[in-house]
Amino acid sequence: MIEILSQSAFASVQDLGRFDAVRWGVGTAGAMDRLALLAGNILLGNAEDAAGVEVQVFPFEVRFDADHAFAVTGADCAATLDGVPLLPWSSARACAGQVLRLGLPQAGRWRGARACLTIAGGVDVPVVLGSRSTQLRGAIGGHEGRMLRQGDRLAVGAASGAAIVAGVVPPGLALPLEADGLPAVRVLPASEHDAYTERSLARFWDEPWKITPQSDRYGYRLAGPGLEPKAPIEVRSHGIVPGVIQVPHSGQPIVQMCDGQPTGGYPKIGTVIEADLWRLGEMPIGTRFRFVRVEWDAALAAREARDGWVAEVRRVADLMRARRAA
Amino acid sequence: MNANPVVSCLGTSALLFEAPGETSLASQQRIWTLARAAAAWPEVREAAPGVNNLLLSFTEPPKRLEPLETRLLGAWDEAAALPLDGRVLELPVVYGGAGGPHMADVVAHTGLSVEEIVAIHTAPTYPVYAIGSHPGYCYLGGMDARIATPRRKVPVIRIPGGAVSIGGSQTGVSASDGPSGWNTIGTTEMVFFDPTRDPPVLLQPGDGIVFRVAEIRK
Amino acid sequence: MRPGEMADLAAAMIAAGIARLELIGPDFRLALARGEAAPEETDETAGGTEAAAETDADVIPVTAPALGMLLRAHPLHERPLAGDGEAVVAGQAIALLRIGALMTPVAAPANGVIVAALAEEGALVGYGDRLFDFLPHD
Repeated sequence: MIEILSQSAFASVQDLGRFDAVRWGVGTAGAMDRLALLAGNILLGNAEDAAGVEVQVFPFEVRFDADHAFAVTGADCAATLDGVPLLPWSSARACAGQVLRLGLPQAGRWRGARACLTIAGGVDVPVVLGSRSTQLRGAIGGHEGRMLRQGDRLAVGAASGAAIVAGVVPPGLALPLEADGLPAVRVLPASEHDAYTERSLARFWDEPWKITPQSDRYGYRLAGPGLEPKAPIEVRSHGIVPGVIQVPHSGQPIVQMCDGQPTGGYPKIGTVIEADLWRLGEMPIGTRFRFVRVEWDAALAAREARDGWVAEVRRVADLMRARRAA
Repeated sequence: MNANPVVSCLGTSALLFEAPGETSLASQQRIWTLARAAAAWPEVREAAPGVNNLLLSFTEPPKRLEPLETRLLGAWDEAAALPLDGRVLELPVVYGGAGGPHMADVVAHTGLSVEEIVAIHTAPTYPVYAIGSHPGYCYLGGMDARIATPRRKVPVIRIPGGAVSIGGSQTGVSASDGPSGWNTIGTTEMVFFDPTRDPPVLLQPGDGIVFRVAEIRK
Repeated sequence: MRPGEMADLAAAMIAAGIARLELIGPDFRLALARGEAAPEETDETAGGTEAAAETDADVIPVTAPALGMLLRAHPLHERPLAGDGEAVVAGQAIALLRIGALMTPVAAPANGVIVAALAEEGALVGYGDRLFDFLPHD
C-alpha cells in the first residue's frame, strides 16, 4: 500500500491508456508522458502497461506502508525519501514508513511539468475496459474513477523482484527537438488545414504558441496569432484522438490531450504526432513552443526513434538485471 | 459539403473517413456497414462511427496510407444501408422547471409555447447515429428543425447526467455529469453506461430513443 | 571470474559502445577489447592506489559498482552530485556510471567527504576501478 499524504493532490492513477473504447464514448486517458511511465516500469521490472501515479501539482507526498522499490520519472522535482535527495529519472528502494516527497519541478537542462511515480508491482486498481487509467467523465478506472486525495490508500501488485536501482538519461536530453531555439512538437496537417488562409497557415507554422493557464489533462489552450478560415467551416461530430489541434471560433487553437473527449466538432488544422505527445505533456503552462510540419514518413520515423529509445532503455536494463542476478 | 468522401489522417494514430452529402439516416446506415467491415481489417484497432463519418484507429500505423484509403473508398462504394433494427428505448422526461433551466431560451428562440415544444420533441423515434462525446452518450438523428436552437454562448460548467437538451439541430441526453454548451430542456433517469456490462453501453448505433412526457413544470 | 561473467561484460561493452575495458581484481586482471588487439598490461593503476593508501591510512577507496562512463553530475544538472571536500551521507549518490541510456549510481560508502577523484569526468571505468579517495567521518 501507499498512502497519499498531500491535501490537494490532483494526481491520478494512469497507465498507457484505454485505446479501444472510442466507439462507446470513452477517451484514452493514460499518462501524459508515456516515456516517463515506461522508463519507470522498465527499471522496476514491471509489465510496461503497469499503472503508476501521475503527479501534476507539487509538492506531493506519499508514505510507503511496506518495503517497495519505486521510481520517480518525468519532471525533475527534487524528490526526497525521508529527506534524503533522490536523483531524477531514477529508481530507489523505500522501507515501510518512509515518506516520498516530490517538490517543485526544477528548471535544468530540461524542464518537465508532470512527474510519474511507479512502484515495483504496479498500482493495483481494477482493469476497466482494458486499462487502469482514470477516466474522469463517467468516473471509471483508476482509484474510484477520480483524482487522488489525502488519505487515499493504493494497493500495490506483487513485484517480480527484478527491480534495479538505476537512472535513465531523460528523453528530453536523449531525443531533443527544437525550432529556432524553442521546444517543438511535430504536426501532421489535418483535414481542414487547407481551409485556413495563407496568412493564418504561415503564422501557425512559423510563430511561437504559448500554453495558457487554461490547459490541463483535457486539453491545452494556446495563445498566439489568431487563425482564420477562408470561409466558415462546418464540421460534424467525429471521433478524435489526443494530439488533434482544433480551432474554435476564437481562432486560438486547442490541442486535445489525454482526458479530452473522444469526439470533436471543431475544425482540425493538424495533429501533434503520437511520438511527440509526451513532449507536450511535459511542457509547463507558460511555455512558448513551435509546431513543426512533417509528412507521414517523417512521423513514422519519429515514432521509430521514440520506440528505439524505449528499446534501448529496456535492453540496458535487462543487461544490468542479468549481471546482478549472475 | 463535400461531393466525394474525404479521407484524412489524425496524426499517426487514426484515420478519418467523412461521407459526402447531408447527414441522413440512409447515409448513417452505410457508415455502420462500413464500420463493421473496417473493424475486421488487421491494421484497424477500432472503427468508431461519428455523425456521417468514421474514425479508424490503428494498432500500428501502416507504412503507407494510400492502400488503406483505397480499400476504405472501395468499401464505401459497396456499403449497403444497414437497416435500423435495434431496440427502442422509451424515456420519461420531466420538461422545464429546475431540471430544464434553458426551456425559456428555446421558447424565446423558436417562438413556440412550452407545450408545442414538448409535443414536437416527443413525436419522433430518434435513431442513435453514433456513440461519443462521453461514455455512453448517443448522437441522435431526426430532430424536428422547428425546435432547433443555437448552442449557448457560454457553456454550463456542469449539467447532471439525465439532462435532455437541444444544441443546434440536434437533441440528446447526457449520460453523466459534465460541461455542456447545449440548452437543457428537461431531465430523465437512465443508466446509459456501465463498464461491468458487455457491451458497456445501453444503446448502440441502430437503436432508438422515444421521449415521453412524464410532467411539464413551469 | 567465470566465463559467463566475461560474456556479460562483453555484452555490456557492446551495449555501451565501449571499445576497451580493463578490470583489476584482488586476484586477477582482465583486459577486454573490441575489434582491436588487447592493450599491454601495466602495473600503473595498482601501484598508484597503493601509494595513495600509504599517504593517509584513514582514507578508503570508492570503487566502481559497475562499468560505465563516469559522470560527476546528473545530466540534467550543472552542479556535481558531490564536489571534492563536500560532506555527504552514507548511501548518497556521489557519481553516476553511464551505460547507454542508463546510469548506475555510485553510493558514498559512509558519511564523509571525497578527498580526491581518481578518474576523469567522462572516463570509461570498469567494475572495481577506484574512483575516489574517500575520508569517512565517525
